Amino acid sequence: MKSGSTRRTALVTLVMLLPGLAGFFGLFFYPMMVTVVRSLRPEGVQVGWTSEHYISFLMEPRAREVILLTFVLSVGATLLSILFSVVLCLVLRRKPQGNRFYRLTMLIPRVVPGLIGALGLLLLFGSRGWVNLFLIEFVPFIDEPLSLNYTVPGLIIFYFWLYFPFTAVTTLSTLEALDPAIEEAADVSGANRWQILRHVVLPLIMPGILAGSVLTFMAAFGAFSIPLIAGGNYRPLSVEIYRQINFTPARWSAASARAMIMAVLQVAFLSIYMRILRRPVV
Amino acid sequence: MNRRAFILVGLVTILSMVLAACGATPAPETIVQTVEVEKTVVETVEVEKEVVVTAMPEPGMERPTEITIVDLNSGANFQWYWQQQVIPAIEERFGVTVDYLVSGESETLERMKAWQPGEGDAHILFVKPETIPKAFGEGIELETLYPDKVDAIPNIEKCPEAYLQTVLGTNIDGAGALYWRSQYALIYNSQYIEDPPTSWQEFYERRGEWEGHIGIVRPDAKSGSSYRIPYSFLNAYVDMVDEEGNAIPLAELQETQEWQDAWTKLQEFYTVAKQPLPAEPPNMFEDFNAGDTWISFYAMDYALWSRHEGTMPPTIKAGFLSEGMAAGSDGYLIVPAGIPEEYKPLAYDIVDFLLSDDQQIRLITTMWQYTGTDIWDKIPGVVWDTIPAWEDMEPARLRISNKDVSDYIKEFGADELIP
Amino acid sequence: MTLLRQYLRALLNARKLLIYTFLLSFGLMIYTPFLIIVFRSVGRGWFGRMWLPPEYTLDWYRWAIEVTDIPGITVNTLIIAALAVIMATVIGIPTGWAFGRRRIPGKELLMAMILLPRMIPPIAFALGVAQIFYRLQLIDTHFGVALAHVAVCAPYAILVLSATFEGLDERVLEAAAVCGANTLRSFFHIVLPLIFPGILSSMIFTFTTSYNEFTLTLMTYGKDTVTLPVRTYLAIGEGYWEVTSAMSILLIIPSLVVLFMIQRQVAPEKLVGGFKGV
Repeated sequence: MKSGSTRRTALVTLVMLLPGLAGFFGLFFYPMMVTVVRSLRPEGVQVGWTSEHYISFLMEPRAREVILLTFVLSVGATLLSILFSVVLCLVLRRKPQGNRFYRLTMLIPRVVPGLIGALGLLLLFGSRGWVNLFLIEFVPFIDEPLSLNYTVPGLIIFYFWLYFPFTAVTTLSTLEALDPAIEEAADVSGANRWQILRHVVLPLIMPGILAGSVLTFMAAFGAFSIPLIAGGNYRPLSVEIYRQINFTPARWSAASARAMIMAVLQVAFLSIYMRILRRPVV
Repeated sequence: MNRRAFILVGLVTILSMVLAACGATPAPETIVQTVEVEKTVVETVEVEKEVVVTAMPEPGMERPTEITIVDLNSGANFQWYWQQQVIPAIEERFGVTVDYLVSGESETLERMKAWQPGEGDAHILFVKPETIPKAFGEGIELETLYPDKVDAIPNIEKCPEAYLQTVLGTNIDGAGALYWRSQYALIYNSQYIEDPPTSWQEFYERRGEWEGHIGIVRPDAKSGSSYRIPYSFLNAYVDMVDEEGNAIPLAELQETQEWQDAWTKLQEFYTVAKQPLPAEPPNMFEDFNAGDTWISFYAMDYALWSRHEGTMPPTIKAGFLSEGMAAGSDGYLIVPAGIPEEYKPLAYDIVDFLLSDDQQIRLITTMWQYTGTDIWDKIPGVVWDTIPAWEDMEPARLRISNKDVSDYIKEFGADELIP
Repeated sequence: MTLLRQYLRALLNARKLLIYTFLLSFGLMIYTPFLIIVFRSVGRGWFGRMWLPPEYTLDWYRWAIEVTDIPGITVNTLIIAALAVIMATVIGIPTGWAFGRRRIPGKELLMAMILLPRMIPPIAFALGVAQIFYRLQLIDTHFGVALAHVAVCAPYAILVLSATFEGLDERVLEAAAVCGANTLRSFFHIVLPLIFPGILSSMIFTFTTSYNEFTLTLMTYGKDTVTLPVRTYLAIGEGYWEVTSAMSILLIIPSLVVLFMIQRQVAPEKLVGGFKGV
């Protein structure tokens, strides 16, 4: 039964959605289609269809390594972020001294352009950076500088530094939104600090943690300027795309194909992740 | 009903977008026009020119008061030079405002391809040699400066013709004016090395002395040093061009024993470099500054300028390798065909000005970069205290002429050479 | 009893010590990269393995200022970010309202779609954006670059604002109506204050996203719209990291100032108010 007001409500809703949809289609979807089309064309040509770019990349033995590397870096950084954020937020919740300052500090990596942060980390962990100087002087069995910069663990640390704020911020807000009555109830029932943490607090804030970690993962997956200047031998998928553009002549179709593969992988992983998120947490 | 309409509209929109995206880029039309151009030369001689293509008269055009120069070649040292010395000189000389913009090659070429005809916004580009064949490969048209525009750019005749006709083994048919010649040399830190090698073969023989301290950039780096270093190395062991100077096809070379030996030696050479190989030259210079890398092969002007400015240790020196040292990123000035016609006369004037003796001499005395024009007798002698005289250096100067080889290194180098 | 008390007190103190050590390390972790950049930007002759440079100089700053148009670049970045924020908020408010307060068929799917631009690496659609913008003459305009940014800023705004609107309790509005407020009054005095933290939060996230956006800017910028991330990228690739360091310090000052100003008005944790997560 359609009444006038229902139709009007639907119309209003549609109108309200229009700017968002227009923006989405015009600024993202259509350009995306242009890229997809290009990835299916032979290099440098406007007509004809081919799937050679996809096939040739996926057939390459290195392709598997590159994809694996991208995942390892993103997952590693995300796990580290979760671990660190949980500890940090539990500490900050009690509002220790300087708490406002530290909450601000949490935002710094997101406020400053990633490249500058990466430069600082590169200098800090370099062979003459303070970290190595410290290790050589104060740790007895280390005489040679540790090569951290151009290694996988090093990259994971870089990614973690740059993207943990996403996780930290949502964890903190979820934690603070928690009703203290629940914890009080557990406390009164005789649970000690650790038990409350493990069985009450953590399960309740898990959705928030995971939501924030999604953002961290997405950012780490798509990061390219950082591995470009600090990646050395390890070139994740994003750098692969740029490699194609730097050939003579630039291989835009190949680059587009790799970009599409990257996009598909990211969306696929995220869907799985969201599925896990949606499972009831009991 | 509501829902279905929703979905239908959505599908139609998506479909139309996909179809539109397929027909995306129309081929640029070539605009043909007659242009009456008035050019004022510095000694206040008025010269009227008429460039006739097809009859389509245009009313008199005004000379532009603002022009954009896009720099795809200069490092930080030269950016300083351009902005502090060259641009003010141009502005003063021509009474125009110059917008100087530093950009990246791939982005710029991509955007040039997307220009509407006659609406290009980069009027003069200063590029690396490889950019010109790349532009041609992408279908970007450049004005032929030599010999077509010799009247507008008389100074271009002072440039060596070979450089105007080919770069990196490809014909460019005079599309670029040579602004500077860059030279690679052995760069070493005299704090750690007192008797550097004087030839590639000696460098290879004595590699054990400096194992772990040799700086070699990754073969797939964006920098030209990625292929210049291995190319020069190979050149010391095998000829890659025949007697007429034509490149020998890679397939042929790979059959020869000489090549295979040379390639094996090259792979061995990479294993004694400082690991991990620096991704780009800035990373390599950080290694120099840390004292981890003692010796490498790179653009001489960059190293000397850095030492002069204090961004590299004062003990840095340049050396000579007798079999051949690769030419560096020679600097070319190009004028795209796709810019508005009224900008072209001014663009030619500026190119001519940059090739003038005064500007070229300033280049070599301030930045220790070899000039694009052959005016060696006009250069003050004090320059030769710091850098080798051109006639001494030129026999060892190696223009990269075998494109097959350099392409092969760029594409497969990462797989085959990195230990 | 007293022994236990002493023991517990010792444990408590140790805990405090642990906490402060942790927080101190956290602070170090975040700030030492910047500290080393600062030293690099004022050091001379810092070669080999040394903790600190042997000499100090302001030459690198002089060089950076000569070579980069710092005020111009900062202004560009701020203008573009401001435009992006306005556009993203204008898109975000009605969309967020619709998502938060109305039943929409396939809402989950739409939400996932809206998030797509954040999930897919910008390079994938930046190429297409550049082509379109050339045809529309939007290249090298502040508006054009900001528009390109909206693609990655709007999703954030929509997400935050839809959560904000969702959290707006109907009953408060009903109560206002019962008390005699008309729609306009209730909008200005009830709705607006309630959604304001959400709007502010979305504006701040949008601002920082646009401020730091690199890939899309790279494909749509020109001589008049060089932004801070683009300039930094060009500087890092050149070597002379002393000059790059000086340039970086000069270029991050505005964002730090903005952050400082914002945190005075709004406590940092409020910046995430209304964001319930995905």
